[in-house]
Amino acid sequence: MVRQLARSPRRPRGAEEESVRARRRRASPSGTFTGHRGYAPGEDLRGLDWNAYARSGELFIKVLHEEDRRTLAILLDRSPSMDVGSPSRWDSARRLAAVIAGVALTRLDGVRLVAGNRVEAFHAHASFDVLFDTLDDLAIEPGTALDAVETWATRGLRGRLVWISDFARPDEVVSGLARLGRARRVACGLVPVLAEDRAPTVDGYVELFDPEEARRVRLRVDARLRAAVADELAGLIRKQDAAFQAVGVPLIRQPVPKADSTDDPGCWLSGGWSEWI
Amino acid sequence: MLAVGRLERVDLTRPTALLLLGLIPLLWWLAIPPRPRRVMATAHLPLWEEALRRLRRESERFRPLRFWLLAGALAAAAIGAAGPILRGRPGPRVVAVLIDNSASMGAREADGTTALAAVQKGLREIVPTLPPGLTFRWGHTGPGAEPQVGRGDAVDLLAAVNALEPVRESGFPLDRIASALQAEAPEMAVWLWTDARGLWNGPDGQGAVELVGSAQLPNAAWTRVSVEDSWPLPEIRFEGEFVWSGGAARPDVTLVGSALEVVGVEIDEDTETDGLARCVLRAVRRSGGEIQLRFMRAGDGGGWEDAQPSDDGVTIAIAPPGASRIGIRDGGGGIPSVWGERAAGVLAELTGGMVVNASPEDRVDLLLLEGGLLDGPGARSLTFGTGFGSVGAVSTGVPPTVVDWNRRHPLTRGLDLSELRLRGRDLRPLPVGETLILGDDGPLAVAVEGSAGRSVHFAFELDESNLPYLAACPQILRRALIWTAGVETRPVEVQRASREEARLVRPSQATRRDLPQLATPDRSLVGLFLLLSLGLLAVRAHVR
Repeated sequence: MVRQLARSPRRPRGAEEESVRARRRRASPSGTFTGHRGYAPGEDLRGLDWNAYARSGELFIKVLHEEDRRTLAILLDRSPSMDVGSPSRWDSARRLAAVIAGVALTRLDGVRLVAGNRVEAFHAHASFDVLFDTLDDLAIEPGTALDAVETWATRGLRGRLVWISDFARPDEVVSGLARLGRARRVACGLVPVLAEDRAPTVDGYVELFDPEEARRVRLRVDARLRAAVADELAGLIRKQDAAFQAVGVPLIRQPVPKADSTDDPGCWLSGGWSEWI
Repeated sequence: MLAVGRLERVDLTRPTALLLLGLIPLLWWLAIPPRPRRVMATAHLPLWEEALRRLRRESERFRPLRFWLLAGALAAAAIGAAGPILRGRPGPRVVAVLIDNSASMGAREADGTTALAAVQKGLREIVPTLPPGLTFRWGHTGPGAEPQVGRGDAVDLLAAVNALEPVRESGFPLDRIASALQAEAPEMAVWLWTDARGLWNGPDGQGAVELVGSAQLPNAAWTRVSVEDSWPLPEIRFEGEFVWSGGAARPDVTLVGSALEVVGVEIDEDTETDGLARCVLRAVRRSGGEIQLRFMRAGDGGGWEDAQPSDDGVTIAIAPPGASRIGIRDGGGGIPSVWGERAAGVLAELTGGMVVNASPEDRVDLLLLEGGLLDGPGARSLTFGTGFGSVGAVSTGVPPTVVDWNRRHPLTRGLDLSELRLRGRDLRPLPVGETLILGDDGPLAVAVEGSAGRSVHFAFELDESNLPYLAACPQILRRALIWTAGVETRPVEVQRASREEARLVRPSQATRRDLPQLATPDRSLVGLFLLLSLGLLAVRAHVR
């Protein structure tokens, strides 16, 4: 599907030229030196600043201004709260990350996948299979949505940024957006939206399970409770929108297709994120 | 909360109801929410909980506090259904209150109160504080020295006590009665209220004793009065005994009333007995009526005042003077009986009167008739062998024998009629009356007391018996004249106070004894436990 997307006629204007330029710059990296960042395994060894290594004994990558503009970081929330829904939000987030990374690899110089404290770097036109295997290997781990932001900030990564999360905890959203805002990154929030994010989809006597806090609540759901929860969900959406608007970062809600249509590329492109990349 | 010591006295009347406690495991099972068929993971659990809070709802979960409140309510209801009873304190459930309302209880102290008032006040104060559910029985002296008893609850007792007044007659030996009653019925608490004057059987007595009216007061009281009337002769002799106490000088004695003229007063103090004196008054009758024997201050003749004025006087009714007309009438044969005339003559001589040949229209003080016939038993008549109406004599075949005579009637009291013999065989039928002399075939003499008046009738004539030869004959004649006249000299109010009771200065030797621990009633705890059950349910309704 990703390869299909890469060949998609709906490619952005000027993408072909950008692709050529990317291949050229990748062969001969250049640009204004803006600083160093830590080396992550898998990165191109040609970007290492050997002089800095000689001075400090640690590996640093020289960060050039042009590189910032030509790379994309995908921050993937792998906290337990993503393990909800059917199909689960986590699977949808990984599919969305795969689609975004695949498209980015055909258009930009590289993609860095940040999930929790793990960072994987992919160069332009890297094998999609490696990307897919990497995403398949990712699993839900204890933590919060902020872990990826923290890792991204700690590593000093540059370039465009897409933060894929459920943003279920508004306080975490505000904290993470503040961190991004201080780095003055070009960022975008992306939420794989489940049907239950709009209104409850259950009825009757059910048990709700919070995978992040490992709490269980048994309750009887009726129309009044569904309406009250829908109000709460609407309030959450308003808080999310307000938080992103406050830092000037767009928040894109990507509806998660139904289970029988997840392989339809068009479903994943309908959110409008491709225009932003 | 109940003390542990009291819990030991809690019994269950229906302990099988405790089987309801077996429902508590069932309640526990029901309190556990069922496992839902659907489990859904959500990232918005706090939002669900906030929605529940907005709707004031609770999640379905096992709530230990609500369960234990429900279990406690069930346990309380089960115990209530088992009929818990808090056993009362063991002890007497019946209180016998003996109240001394003798004359001394009415003695007024310096502040005007009496011992009986103190009894009433004390009972009004104490009885309401006694345990509820007690049954009271009470006893005191009533009018005529008759015992008065009653039973009921505290209200009845206080009502009876409040209406109580001191009697002028001597009371019963209540201390001995109380002691005997307590020994006879130990399950009953005997409670004696007395001033202990005139009675007290010592410290070994039984039953509770409340002492009242212990003040030492001056008093003089008649303890015995007798009258010897010589009627129809004018002389009357009074003999009395009285006690005085309280430091005052011995009182003098006087007669108050115009019916008599006192001709002599003699008072002798009993030197061996402190405060006891005997007096003899001789008087001459002037007319009939009531006189009063009273005390007066020695020397100046003023009135005698003491703490107990009710025992200071004795009222006596004086028979009117004699001088009667004794009427005789010839019998059936027109010839008056010899013995009848002689009897009439004796009576006239005794009374200073006269014998008249009475016609039916004449007024006579006594019609004495022997033999003959009368229409009926007329008033103030004395007949011997007189027939009434057309009924004639009845022959007995053999002379009747005297079996007995009435020893209580004023006509025959104290007389000896054992030598009375009858010679005749004919007896006249007697009217209905109280038998005076009883023969083997029926009454031989009767006393008739009807609305018309009094009369005395013998079934035989005088000369048919040896009655004229007996010493009792003049007495019978004289008493018949007095009794049929319906007047006699007698004490109207007799003071029979005991010496000990009248002496209000003698300190009481009695000691107070407390009322024993009385029984308290059993208390049902059913209502308490049911209330507790409802309370727990009410609390549970407010617990989330």
